[in-house]
Amino acid sequence: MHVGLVHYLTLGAILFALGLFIVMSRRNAIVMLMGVELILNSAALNFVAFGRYGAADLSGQLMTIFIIVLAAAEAAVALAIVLAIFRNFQTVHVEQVDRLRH
Amino acid sequence: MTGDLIWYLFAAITVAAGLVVAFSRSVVHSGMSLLFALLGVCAMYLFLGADFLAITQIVVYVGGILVLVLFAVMMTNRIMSTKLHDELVQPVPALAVSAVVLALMLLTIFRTAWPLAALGESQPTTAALGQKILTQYLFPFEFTSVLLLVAMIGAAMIIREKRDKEDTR
Repeated sequence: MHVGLVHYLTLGAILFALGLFIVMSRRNAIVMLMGVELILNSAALNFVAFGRYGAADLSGQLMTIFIIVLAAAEAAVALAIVLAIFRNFQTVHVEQVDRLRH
Repeated sequence: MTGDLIWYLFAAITVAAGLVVAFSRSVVHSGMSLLFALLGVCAMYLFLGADFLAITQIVVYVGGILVLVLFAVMMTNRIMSTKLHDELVQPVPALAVSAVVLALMLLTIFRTAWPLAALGESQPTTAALGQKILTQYLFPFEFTSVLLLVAMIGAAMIIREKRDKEDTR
């Protein structure tokens, strides 16, 4: 079968499901963040695929640029929070972080 | 066709790397195979004719986010300890929910008649993207730069050691 829009959408769906599984089944905050990155990547891939096959202009790629920027900002802030949690709790296991004050 | 075969190869690499991220017990293995998943998505951008995005994917994700993630892994685990392992929690319900979501998405993808435009020749996109960003998308662009600044300051504030509290005790 010739590679077309459906192939990219399928790949995006698989990546999304994997990211969803990671976020649900892991309790290490850093690995959960990796799952979020996979989900963002699958969404970005869908935008580019629709931009190429559906709209046939650059709008999908522009949206993906903004997604990448937001992913970078999110990763920086989230990892800073993770390191701050580790300094206070000596763990990144999200179920052991159950106190609001230390 | 050779191009399709290469596409399937890269898609298989992407999915396999994603599976390793999902099921590997070792946090470091997850991080390293995330590298291959991101490179696979980069290859997909190249197949879609998005050359600027492919380079951005490598620079930002592989050069930035992945390095940050690996730094965080190393700083939050003592390398000699065995705590680099992370067990799956309730894998069966999580797998069931993910499978149902995947099935629904695949059903939608294959049932829908997507309106397809005529495929043009792939052109270099960098100049056109720059034109669009500085004209039609100027406000989101400037807003994004402010957001990046806020995120940078926020991350630095969160991670800062609170020295003065220790001094005044």
